[in-house]
Amino acid sequence: MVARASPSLSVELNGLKLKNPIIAASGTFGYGLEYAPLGDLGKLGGMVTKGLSMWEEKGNPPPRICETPAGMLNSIGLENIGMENFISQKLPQLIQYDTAIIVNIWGREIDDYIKAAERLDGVNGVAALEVNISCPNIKKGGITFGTDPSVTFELVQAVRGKTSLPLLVKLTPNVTDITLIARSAEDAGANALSLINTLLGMEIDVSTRRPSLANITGGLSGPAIRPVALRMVYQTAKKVNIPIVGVGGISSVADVIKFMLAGASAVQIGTANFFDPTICWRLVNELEEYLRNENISDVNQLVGALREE
Amino acid sequence: MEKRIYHLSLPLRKQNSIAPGYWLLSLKSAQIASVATPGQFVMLKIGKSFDPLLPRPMSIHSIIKEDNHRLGFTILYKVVGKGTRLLAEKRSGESLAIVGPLGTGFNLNHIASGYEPIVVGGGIGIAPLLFLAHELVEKGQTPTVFLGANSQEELLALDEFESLRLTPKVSTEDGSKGVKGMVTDLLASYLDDSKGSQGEIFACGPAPMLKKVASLAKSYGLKSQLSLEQRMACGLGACLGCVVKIRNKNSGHSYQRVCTEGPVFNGEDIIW
Repeated sequence: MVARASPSLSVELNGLKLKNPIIAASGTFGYGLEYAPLGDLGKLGGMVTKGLSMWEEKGNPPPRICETPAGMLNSIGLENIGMENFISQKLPQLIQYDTAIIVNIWGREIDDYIKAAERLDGVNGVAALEVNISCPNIKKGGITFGTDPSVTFELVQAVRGKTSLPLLVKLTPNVTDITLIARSAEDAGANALSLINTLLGMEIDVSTRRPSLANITGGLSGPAIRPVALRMVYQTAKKVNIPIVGVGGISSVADVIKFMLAGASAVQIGTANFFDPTICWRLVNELEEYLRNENISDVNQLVGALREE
Repeated sequence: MEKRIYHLSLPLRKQNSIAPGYWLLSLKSAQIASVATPGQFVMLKIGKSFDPLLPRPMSIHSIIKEDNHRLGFTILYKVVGKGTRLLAEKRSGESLAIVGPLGTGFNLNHIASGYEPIVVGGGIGIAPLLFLAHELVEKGQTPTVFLGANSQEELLALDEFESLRLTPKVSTEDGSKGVKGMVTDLLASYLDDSKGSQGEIFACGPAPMLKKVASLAKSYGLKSQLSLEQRMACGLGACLGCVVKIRNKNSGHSYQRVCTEGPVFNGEDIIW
């Protein structure tokens, strides 16, 4: 038998080209360099940095994490080294790797996002921005940006006006209808959507009668949330015309394929990096092997290929 | 030097209970053993199940050597929850996914002659201290060792310290061996008797014990290096889940990662 040609793994997210659809998710991969001793970052489709603000953020007091069945809660409190430190200390090391470096940005007011987008526009090595709209907006009385379609529109439009970089908007699942928020982000000029962020949760230590997290509530991630994420990707893909990056509990190549069948053009690997720190590299290999075995020449053929009849 | 971290599937060489609820397991890995330093740890994933989901941080207890070649390492742990209970059921030949060696261990660079290392362990906190004691002895030091536990049967690895020709001073809370009381009481009276000693305290144990050690070190003008424990997800410095509050040089505080800047911190820097 003649050896089959290598299947094509590259994907294009409306202006952002990736060598394969496997991206390390924000908050689970540090600034990328933490994982560099374990594999060649240049083999990954991309990586999203820890969420960055224009200032250094200390984050929440510990305990910040708590294990739950097939998942974990976290309330890190957006700790990060700040934009300038990232640009001067981390980015110069990161750009030696041939992977898409996606910078996740957040703020407490729309103006913080605007400043972050302006600062990163034209910075060498930044492939795209991922806008985290799951933070509470101080000026709007603490309402989470991403739970209100009009606030989402306003924020994304403001950022859009300040950068020529591809914009991914990361949506929160803690809403009644995620497709409404998705449409707002699309209308405001997002290139692609990442969904989902963590689900708001809580855990209690019965022996101490205390909340398990110092912040009381936190974001649930891991395999436990995968069906919720998959459902939201599926529903959103039917309502928007921009690419979707699926994220939420993915921990095997079968999971990657599920999200692509549901309509995702690429995926992010999050919590699985914690319990299986070389998973991103393995998924790239296993996805290629799957395509080869199934005689699929291009990974894009999986996108939205769910059989519903 | 580039940091070497390995993600390996290692067959369990052997595992046995050394006291009720306490287990010692051996893993073969020349790679990890040859670069590990005292105070470092590994992340250990117990099976492929999603419950428990996260790997557990475990101190390196000792290095397995043959003819001066570092072949592997041991882990000493206490069964405290679901993860460690499942771990205790693992038998020789079964594999464990290991990431390591990780973290910043004890700093021994400045140790010279005429200097007294004081090693203090409480309960399962002795886990990283045997490796430390080995290293100190190899450097020609004779550390003074204090070990404390609830009872005689929970005084772990005493014979291991003795085989290094060290004579640990021992305390138990129930008085079944050594002095009745806390190990920090023993340490306090020792420091009181040996005022002016040029040394440094190396300790690991429960947080209240370490807090006491830090305050004793301060009152006797000694430096202390304390190995802390915290819930962890990645062990690699990425998740920022395992932080402790550390005093800044100028003023205020910052959060530092137990997995990366630690697990060993200077006692005077920790905000309890």
